Formats: sequence, C-alpha cells, structure tokens
Amino acid sequence: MVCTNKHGHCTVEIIVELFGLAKMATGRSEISIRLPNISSAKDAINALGTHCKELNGIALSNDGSGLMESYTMNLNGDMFLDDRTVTFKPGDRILLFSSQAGG
Amino acid sequence: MIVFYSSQVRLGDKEQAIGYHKKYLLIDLTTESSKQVPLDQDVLTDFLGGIGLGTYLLYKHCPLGVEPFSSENPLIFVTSPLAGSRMTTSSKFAVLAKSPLTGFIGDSLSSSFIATELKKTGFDALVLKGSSKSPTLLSIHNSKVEFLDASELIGFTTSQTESAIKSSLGTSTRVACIGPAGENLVRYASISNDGGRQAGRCGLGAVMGSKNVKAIALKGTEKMPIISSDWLNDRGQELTRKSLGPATEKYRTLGTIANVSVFNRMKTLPTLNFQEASFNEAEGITGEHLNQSHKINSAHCANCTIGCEKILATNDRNTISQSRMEYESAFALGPLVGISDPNALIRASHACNEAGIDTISAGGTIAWAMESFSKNILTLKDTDGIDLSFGNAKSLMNTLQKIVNRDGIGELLAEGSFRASELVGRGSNNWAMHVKGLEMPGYEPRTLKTMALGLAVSTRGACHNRSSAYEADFSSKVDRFKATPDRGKITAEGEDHSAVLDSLTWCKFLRKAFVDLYEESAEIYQHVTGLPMSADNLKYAGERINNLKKLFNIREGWTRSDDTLPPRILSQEIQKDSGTVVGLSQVDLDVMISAYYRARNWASDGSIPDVKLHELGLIDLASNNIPVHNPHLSSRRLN
Repeated sequence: MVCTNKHGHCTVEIIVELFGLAKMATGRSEISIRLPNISSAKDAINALGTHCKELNGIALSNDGSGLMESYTMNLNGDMFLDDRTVTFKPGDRILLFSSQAGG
Repeated sequence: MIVFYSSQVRLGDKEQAIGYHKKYLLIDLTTESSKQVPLDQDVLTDFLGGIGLGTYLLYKHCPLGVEPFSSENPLIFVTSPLAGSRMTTSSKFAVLAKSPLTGFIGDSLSSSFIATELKKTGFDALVLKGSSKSPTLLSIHNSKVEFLDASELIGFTTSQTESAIKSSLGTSTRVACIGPAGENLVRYASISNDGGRQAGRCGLGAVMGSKNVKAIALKGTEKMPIISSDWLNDRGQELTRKSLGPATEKYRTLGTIANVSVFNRMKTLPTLNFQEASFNEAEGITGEHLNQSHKINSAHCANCTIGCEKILATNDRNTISQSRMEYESAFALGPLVGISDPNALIRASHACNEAGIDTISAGGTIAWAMESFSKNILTLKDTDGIDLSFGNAKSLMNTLQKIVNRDGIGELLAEGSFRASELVGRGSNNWAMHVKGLEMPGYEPRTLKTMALGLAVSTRGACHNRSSAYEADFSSKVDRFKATPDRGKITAEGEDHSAVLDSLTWCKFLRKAFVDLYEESAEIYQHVTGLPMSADNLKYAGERINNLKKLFNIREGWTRSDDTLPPRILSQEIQKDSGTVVGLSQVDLDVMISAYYRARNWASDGSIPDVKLHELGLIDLASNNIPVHNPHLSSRRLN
C-alpha cells in the first residue's frame, strides 16, 4: 500500500483476473491496477478501462466508463461488487466474468 | 379458481391462433391402438404446455404407486403453445413419466424440431401407455399411428438409429429414440432426438426402453394456420434482436462451458465426487481452452437465434471424436471424476450421447464408484479388473461401456448412485451425491446456499434448472456463503418463473429479453393462442404447476425427509482461498426449507393445505391423493 500522507489517500495494487471472452480478447489472464484503498466498483472499472482498452466494448462499455450488463465483478471470490464503497487491501483480487451463471 | 383474465386479444380475419390443437393422442402400445382425446381450454390456460401440461397429463394418466418400469407408467411427450410461432427459442418439448431414479415426477426438456413436428401432426401431446411385445418403432404421421418392427434397430446407437429411420421413412422425419442404454434399462438413460440432442435427466429413456419402444418417428403435414399478425412479427423480431444482446454473449461465444473456469475460481466446481470445490487441473477443460483448441463449430437448437452449442473435436492421435459440450457434461465427466484431458472428456461425452445416457448421472455414479474404489469398498474384483482411480480416462470409458451394457460392474452402476450405494452398503451412501435419487449437477451447494435450497426441494431431485436458484448466489443480492430464510421466497419465485419458461416454452438463456416475463409473455400467449391470459394468471400458472408436481410426489410417498442434501454436503466443509472454511449444517438447511414452505403457504411438514389447493384450482385433482409408501426409494426392494 502506498500512502501519500499520514491522513490517508493511500493507493493499493489490485489484480483483476479475467475470464471468458475478456480473457480471450485481451490474451491476458490478469491485469494489475492501482486504486485508492477506499474505492468503488466504478473506480475499479475506470482504472481498468484506462489500463486495458482491449476490454472496451467487451466487458466494459465502449468508452470504458462502465461495466457491460453481461459482466460482473467479484472481490476475492467472496463478495460481488455493486455501488457500495469498498476498502481494498494489498493483494486483493477482483474477478471479472460473465454475469450469467446458467449452464 | 381465481381468474384474472384480461380482455381477449381480438384476432383479425387473417389472424388465426396456432397455439393449440386442443387434443392429444393417447396410444396404447399393448393393444396397438390409439385415440384422440380433447383438452379443455381451462386445462390449457391453467397448465400452458410443455412441462406444465405434461405434469397435468402425468397426474391424470399415472396410476398411484405404479412401478416406473411397469407398462402402466405413461410416457408423455408434450409440445408447447409457442412452438411453431417463430418466437426465438420456443421450440422445446417436454417428456414426462414417473422416474425410475427417484420414484417421483420425472420431467425433462429438449430443444428440438420434435416440438414443431409434433404440433404439425395435429396434437399437443402424445401419451404412451402399455408396452409393446417386441421392439417397436412408433411411426406417427398426422393421426395415423403405425407400430413397426424395430428388431433390426436393437443395439444401434442413437445416431445410427436416427439415421436408419430417416433412410427408411424420409429425411424430413423427426426422430426421438433411445440407445443401447435405454434398451438395457439403465436408470439414467436419455431420449435422444434431432441429431443428438438429449432429454437427459430422470431416466425417461429407460421408461421408453421398458415399453419396448426403440424410437418414435414423427411426420406432420397438418397445415398450421399462418399468423399474419404484424404485432407478433414485430415482437418476434424484437426478441430476436434482444437474443443477440450483451446478456447472451457468454452463450453465443464460449457456450455454457465458460462456467468451468469461473466456477473453479469461485470454489463452486464440484470435484472428485464433491470432496473438493475446485480442480487444480481444470485448465485443459475450461471453456477458454476448449474453444481455442477443440471447437470446430457452433450450433443452434431448433428455431433459436442464440446458438449456445459448441461442437468440439478431439485433437490427439487417436480416432477423432466429436461432441456437443455443455458445462454439465464437462463438469460431470471432468472434475467430478478427476479427468483433466480434454480429449478424454470429449470422447466420454460422445460415448454417453451415442449410448443415450445422461452425462450428469453417469459422471455422478462413476464418481461414487471411484471414491468407493479409493476407500477399498469396491476392489478390482468388483470392478472386473478396472482401475477405478479418479482421473483414469481409460477406466472411465470402459466403465461407461459396461454401464450401457449392464455388464459386470455396469450392472450395479446402471442403477444410479443411490441404489448402488444401498446395495453395496458399508457407509457408501455418505458419498452417494444425489437428491431423491437424481445425481447432483455442477453447482456446489456449500458455497451457493440459495442453490442448496433449490436442489434440496426440487421435485425431480437434484436439479439446478427448475429453480435457477444459482442466479441469486451469483449476484450481490445475497451472501452466497450464508444460509438465510430469505432464500425460501427467492427459490419459490425462481421455481414459478422457471415453470412458466418450461411450459410456454422459452429458453432460460434468453437472458434480459423481457423486462417483465409475465406481462410480456401473457401478451404473446394471447396473440399466439387466441386465448385469454394475464400476467397474474401466468404467474399463477407457474405456481399451480409447481404445486401439482409436488402433489404428484406426495401421492407417491414424498415426506419432508426427502427434501434434503447428501450427508457429505451437511457434514464436510469446503476450504476457501482465505483459509476459512464453509459448510452447510442440517439446521441451516432446515431453516431455509421451512422458509421455502412458508413462502409457498405450505404446512410445516411440506404438505399442501386444502386452502392452497382451492386457490390454485387443484382441489379436485387432489381429492384422491392418498400418499403411498415409495417402494422405489426403499432399500428393502434392493435386497
């Protein structure tokens, strides 16, 4: 974790794991992004859109500002991310995969 | 009955309803006779079609307490009101009988041109009663029924059977048939149709085999009035557009096998007979790898614009094999039995489809045998010298063949994991992974608590499709690791929603195509059938159908103790990545089951109060509903 001052404003490195078409289209199974430690899914999406533009139009909207409705994000396999703010820890992993689990 | 009908759709001169023929064909195989039986309009609007109408017909035609392989057990094929309407994904048919695996309701769906061909014969359903004296090909050309000698087809695989019949009766003939597994009464035999699609679950192919019916050949030339409704055409085009939207992307691109890598990461990929929830060697059988290295084509079901089927081929030096590959087959013939070789997986899936057996139950039963072998409960002497170690691909193939032929160890395993464990004993029922006798699908209940409830209470046994309860677990709506009472309402609503989809019929992969399924489907139903329907009535139909399924099971001896999960699920924990463990206690499951019964307005013992039966218009059907002891789940019968 990197902190810019003693009052907070820390950033953490997060690994985003890619699945399905997101993985195949980018040729990458994971991407590293840096986020403020207190962030939302929206912040993660913006960081992802900046770091990996190949995801735009696939898992992210064309301009990389939002998540396609066909995708969802899960933190460490434990909780699905929605609009709520999350306190991230170093080493956290966001899983990005299809929101449709049926089979 | 409470009626919420909205005003009936007014059809113009050129607009004729095609939804129903308002009759079914009752075929007596014993006397080789048939008769047409009218269907009341109230029955059609109450039970819709597909699984719903099939449940009604099963309840009506199945004698109380009948042995599933008795000639008295009816085998029922039902088309749907929307089949033939050109609405995307609507060409599905249902097959029902009393299941030889569970002794309860057995219902299975298949997407197929059988649905439209059956409709073109002029009937909404076929009900087969009795049994033929010798192997029979049942040929149905409109209302003409012929009982043809099928002796030469005995032993043929499903593709050989279909091919031979088409050569004989014409390529436009639609065929539903059994393979050698159905002939040999393997309790989880499937009914293959339309070029290898399977009505897979509940052992309905074995029921067909018990009737000595090798195949049904359908040819319909009855004119179906063409709907010229601009509204329907527009609605159909709109649904087609939506079927190609982002929400179906997974199905269109990688197919359902995309689940493998995600489920593995989420600790919900049942592995080594549910001893683990993730598979270290999964990489080779993930959807990503299979699509890149083995996919040769995508395919569409009848009248479907999504095209989720992925056709895979082996790429090693052995004889080339091809197979459709779905997640459930990949899970059951892969991680569940420790197989990581994609070529072995494709060959095993192909073998199951050709023999006509359900891949889930086949994998589940062999996984039970492999664990029994690892514990020395089964030895080489019992397995005819087959090394039934987890991950042994050659042994998997050899065992599948023995099951199909009921040869040696196959005689035991053809009975399914429940009966096999009862016969072998020595505590092996603790790792027989089934609910009510039906093997578990690829959704780990300990890490998917809503699904756990859905599996426990499902009327046809361990089934993920009749509730789609996993959807809540894969969302931020619930904490998937915690068992909470709110899952009762979620599961009941999911079941009713699924019953409507399975009865109209729509494919469950038509994701996000409806803003309000009930409202929009009711409107389409009215236009297609010309019969009145409202959103509320449609929703009621879903509830009614699920209650009638339950009523059937109660009649056949169901008790609350049948709504449960395998001992392993309720006693062993799964380790999460964090190092913490997660399990599911009997107490937690009971809390969810009680909440589910309350959500359904059932009694605490799971029975349906008369007031509920009145409300749903089922009281007359239930009037002679005397529960019987269920002999098909009795160990006494197995001794």
